[in-house]
Amino acid sequence: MVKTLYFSIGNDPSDAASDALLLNAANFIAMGPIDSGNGNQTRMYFLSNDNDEASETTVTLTHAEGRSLDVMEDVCEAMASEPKDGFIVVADEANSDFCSPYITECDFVVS
Amino acid sequence: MRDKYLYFGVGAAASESFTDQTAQAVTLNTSNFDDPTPDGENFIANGGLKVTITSGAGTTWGSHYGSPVDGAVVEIHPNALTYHATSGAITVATEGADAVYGWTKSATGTENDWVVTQLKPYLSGNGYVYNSRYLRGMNFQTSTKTELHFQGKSGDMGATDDVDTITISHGDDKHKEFMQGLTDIIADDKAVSGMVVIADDMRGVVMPHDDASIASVA
Repeated sequence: MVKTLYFSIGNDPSDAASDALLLNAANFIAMGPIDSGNGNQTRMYFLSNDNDEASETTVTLTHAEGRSLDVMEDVCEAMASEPKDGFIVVADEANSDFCSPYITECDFVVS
Repeated sequence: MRDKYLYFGVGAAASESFTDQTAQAVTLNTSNFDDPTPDGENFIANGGLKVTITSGAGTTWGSHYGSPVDGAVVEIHPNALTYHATSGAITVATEGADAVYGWTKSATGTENDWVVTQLKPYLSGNGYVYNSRYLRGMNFQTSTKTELHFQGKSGDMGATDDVDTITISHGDDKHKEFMQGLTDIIADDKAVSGMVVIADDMRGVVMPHDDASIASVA
């Protein structure tokens, strides 16, 4: 089964370029907290969505302060799930649908 | 075989000691704690830090703590702690203000010793989850260190190949045991799902059946 991960930023509806993103879960490389100043951001790294072998696609999740480890656990649990259609919502900010109760925002850089 | 998500807590817990405090509050600094120190008033309430205080003569404790003897190290309940959103000042509610979880300092400054300890990762490099799919290999580095090589987070491949390296410190000549223990986890589709902690220096946790061989991770 091909699993996919869905993300959207806060624009509602998602009707403009770069408002929403679907990535193949198999392209997920790693994630970890980043220096946000108050411990409220975790970044996911994927192989390039543009198939560019010299760059990466990143998704930055903003969450409650100090909850990076909890968010990573929740994201991993979501990615390990096996929905019939393979469609996994990690962070759909436009619809306030998140795989973790601690996530509040989502941004991504597609390359 | 399904992907496994392997967590490595790379950074040891930051900690800062404050001895002989004369105030009911302390402020972390970047020389003795991680730089930058965490901001955000909910950081402690969300489990990011813990505060311990050594009971001393003249200190007064809320009912939650019982009657600690002098010299006992007591963890302050988060309900009694406030964390200034920008200055980072950590204040303990007095026992008068919070009869359950409060603590009132001794009038004698030398009786008030604090330690603030990081409990969760919040900085780049504190910890990473890697997809087992991108484990390129493991190699013996020294008799007490094994390197894990993963596809780099930068996404670079081919001519600009980029590798992220995690180094596991373990018992002497335990590299094979570690390698086999890790591959057992990666191959186990029945018992392993979601994020699995391989080694976490911050919490002193290592993968379940290999605690005798892993010492640290970097």
